[in-house]
Amino acid sequence: MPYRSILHFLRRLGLVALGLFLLTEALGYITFFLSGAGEADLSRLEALPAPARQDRPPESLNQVAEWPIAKGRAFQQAPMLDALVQTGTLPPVAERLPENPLVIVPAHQNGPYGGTWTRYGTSPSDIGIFSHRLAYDGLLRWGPMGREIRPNLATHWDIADEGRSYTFHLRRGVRWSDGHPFTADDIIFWYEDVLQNKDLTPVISVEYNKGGQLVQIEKLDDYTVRFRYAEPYGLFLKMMASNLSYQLVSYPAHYLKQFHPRYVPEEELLAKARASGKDFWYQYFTDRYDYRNPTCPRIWPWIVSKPPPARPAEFMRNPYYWKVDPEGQQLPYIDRMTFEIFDIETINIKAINGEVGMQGRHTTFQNYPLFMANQERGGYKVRHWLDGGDGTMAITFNLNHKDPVLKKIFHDRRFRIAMSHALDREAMREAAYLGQGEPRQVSPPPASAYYVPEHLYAYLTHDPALANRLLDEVGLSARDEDGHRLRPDGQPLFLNIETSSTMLGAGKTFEMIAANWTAVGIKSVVKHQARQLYAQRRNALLCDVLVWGGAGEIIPTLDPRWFIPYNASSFFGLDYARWFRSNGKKGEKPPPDMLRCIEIFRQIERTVDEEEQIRLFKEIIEINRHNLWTIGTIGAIPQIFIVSNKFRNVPEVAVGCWPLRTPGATAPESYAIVAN
Amino acid sequence: MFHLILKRLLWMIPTLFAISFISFALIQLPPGDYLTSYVTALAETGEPVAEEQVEALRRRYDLDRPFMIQYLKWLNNLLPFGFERQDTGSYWRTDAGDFNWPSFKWPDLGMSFEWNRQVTELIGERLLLTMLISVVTLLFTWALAIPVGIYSAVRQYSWGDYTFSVLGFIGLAIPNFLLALVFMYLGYSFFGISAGGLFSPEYQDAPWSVARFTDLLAHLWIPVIVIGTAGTAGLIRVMRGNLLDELPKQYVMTARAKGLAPWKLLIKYPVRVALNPLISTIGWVLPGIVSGSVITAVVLGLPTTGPLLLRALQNQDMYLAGSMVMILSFLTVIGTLLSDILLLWLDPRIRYEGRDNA
Repeated sequence: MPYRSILHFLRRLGLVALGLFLLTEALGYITFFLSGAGEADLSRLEALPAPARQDRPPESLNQVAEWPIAKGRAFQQAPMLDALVQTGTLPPVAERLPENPLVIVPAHQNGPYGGTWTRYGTSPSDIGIFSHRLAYDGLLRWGPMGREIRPNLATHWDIADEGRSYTFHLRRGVRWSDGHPFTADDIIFWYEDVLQNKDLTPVISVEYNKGGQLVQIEKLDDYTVRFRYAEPYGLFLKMMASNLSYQLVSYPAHYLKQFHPRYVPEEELLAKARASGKDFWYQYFTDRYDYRNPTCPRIWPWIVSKPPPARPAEFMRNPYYWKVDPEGQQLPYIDRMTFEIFDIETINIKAINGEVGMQGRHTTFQNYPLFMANQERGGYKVRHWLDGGDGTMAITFNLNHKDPVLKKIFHDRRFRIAMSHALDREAMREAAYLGQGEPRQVSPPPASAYYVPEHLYAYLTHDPALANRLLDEVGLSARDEDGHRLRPDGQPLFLNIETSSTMLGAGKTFEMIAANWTAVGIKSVVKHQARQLYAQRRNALLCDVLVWGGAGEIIPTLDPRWFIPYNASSFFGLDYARWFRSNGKKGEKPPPDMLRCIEIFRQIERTVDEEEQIRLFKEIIEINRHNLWTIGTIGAIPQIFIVSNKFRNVPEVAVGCWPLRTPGATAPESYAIVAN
Repeated sequence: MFHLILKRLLWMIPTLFAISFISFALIQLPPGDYLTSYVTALAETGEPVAEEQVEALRRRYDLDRPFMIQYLKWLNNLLPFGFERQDTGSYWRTDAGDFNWPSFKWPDLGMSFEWNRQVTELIGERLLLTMLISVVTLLFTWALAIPVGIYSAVRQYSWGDYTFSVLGFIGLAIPNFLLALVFMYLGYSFFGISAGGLFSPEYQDAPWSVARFTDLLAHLWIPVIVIGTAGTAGLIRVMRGNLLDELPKQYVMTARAKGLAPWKLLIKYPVRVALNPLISTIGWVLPGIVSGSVITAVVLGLPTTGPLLLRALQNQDMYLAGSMVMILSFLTVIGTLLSDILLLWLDPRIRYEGRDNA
């Protein structure tokens, strides 16, 4: 009977469906309760102290000093090195340290020695954070708040000739990790055989080329080097503190000469290169210099001992590290650092479980409530550091757009201001940032010396009426039957908001931007793309609206990408940036206001006086306030660092951004781990 | 039989050549190259790379050559017979200047850009653990799915059948990575097992010992169950369906009428026939053993080859990706051949070549 079989089938279907429903529900509840997600209510979040706006009292940050010679040379070392000294493999600590070791006064306490700093990355190249940020040793270094430049490998320096000449006095008796002395010769090796070698450096970066001439570097004696530029270079010290000097003190001449054709016949090198699977000598040279080569001597606190793909990749202390604490204990305190590769979600679970030592990378802000709720159980603290790049999201219009009609619209300042007023930033703050942060434009934050409140808080009100009026004034008053605005040529106005699929952290915000703009008649759609595709479309000037994160606005002179068309990250005017970088040979000539900004910036580059630099940059900011080439959304979102309760000397608050090589500027070599 | 195998082996050669070209082309097809992804990835973490540095890197990785040159170079290195590279860097001329005749040599899988290592080295150290996980998972799947499938078919529409069906469908429906995340959380909360990986931190790089092996077993169950559930569920359905097709057939009825013990009858005839689909898919198991369950392995942070391949493809780390795809293709081709041979042996009804019908 078909009727009976249908009934039978329905009964079965019902049973299976019921079973499935009950089981998934049960599973859902179990995971929900176990995950502790229910505990992370927002009232606890609101009880948090707001991120500090001002520099904290200095006692919670590390300081530097010079070792008082009068104190003698009664230095101490990590217990793990004792055995090596006893067997004679290693000379005693006093012989390994320089004449005047740099003293790091740790943020909280001296020592203890030992422990392993466990870190996690999402890819093998992610381990490069070690050489980018944790091994932050150049001639100079930034203080942890990015306000002052401190001595490091250089004890002091002289500026002469209105900023054309810089003389650095190197710390005497610093040694590479194999015990060989570090001298001016190493810098000269880099200058002559690396920087000026066409194979190793096909294009010399602009920082070494001023006034159309390569910087001249001379060795005055073993511990003195002089840099001479053809024209004054006022940003030089800042650049040196940020990243420039890292390169020039990372090439140990005594080791690398055996891989360089100036010192060894090229055929011999080629044979060696081929034996290790390389095709050219310079590939082999770069491979030997790479931070993953354990045999290359370094001046860093830790050195790779088990390079990736070892699981975990391991870095061990450098027995010749040239810094001490105020009691004369040689740094670093931490013996060992390990890196393992996991998926980003797994890393977040590990953070919640308390398996992370000290890490800010990959701890996504979306998991903030979970991090806060599990602090006690996981045995860690959540640290809120100031984000030195204040624009959490920078929205730009492609001012070099290929479509002349869109280009004309984008170039109208009223259009950009209207689009800023169309955004409901309060709603974004609630929906995407858990109510943290505040509406801001992309501009130096209040903790910066370059802070201009008139720009940071300009055009932020959510005012659709004003936006609509401005858009009508621009000439976009005609609308189609759906209420969407038409372009002056009668075509529908349609904007693609393009971003990389990896910027999903701010996913909700994108949809809200598109909805806000569509509400004032500018039909907008979000387009997430693979990052390679995004990069290509961007460089071909095909995008309408581009969205990206902020840079290091706290010291904007180092990377003014959102204020002038500075580099390939100045998304508002990539073709103008080409013009700027090629000195007018390539790209499109910028409009007058932008040209004025470039002119002022060139003046800053030639100005040594910091006060004058600040005054001039504030002029650039004022022109930006008027033009609003870049639109900001929410700023003052703290950078989240998970710090195990066993860690000491990690500051409660510091500034986090690329120019400071965070956490490099907080002196990771002074971090310590207690047993319990 | 021998003819069949020989013929199939010969056909493998053009197939693999075609695969090598297509896969290399596909890896190169997305816009940009390894450096584009490297540079943009760095930019996302706020670490801009100057254009000047990119030029140096492009030179270092030799990425400015045309596609065909890159392909031929890779292919030549990959083959066990080809031009041996001379010290001068030339493939065609020997050091003395004569024509360099192709010869037998060791296959060279090339370098990985991102790891800065030989591909053989990277795959080699991951292969053992990958195969261990895959084989254990396979055994787990079969040990669970075959008996349950038989039970569900024999006791169709019983409460047991319903229970297994519901569980099986849930296993099939839950994404593996989600299950992995839940298990990792539970594993740490209740058993204190460090999330992800196959070893606790203290055994990570320790030499093999009983303690380390126990530690491995404590971690192994998570990937085995996670990867196994979906497979088990699918297999139960296949097994149940096949057996249900066989059970009402006349030969079963006849055997039963003649008084053969029900258990013996079941195992000896219908189950054997119902196993055919399992055998014919063995061909996919072989590459599966090497590539593993990629997403699960990524989430669990397993030191297997799957995540290596995924990452290489995402980054256009082309020699690593290309060589791994070639290895997988090779195993698929071999596996298909193996399963065909097994089927011939298992089921006498299957004939090869077709001319016997004439």
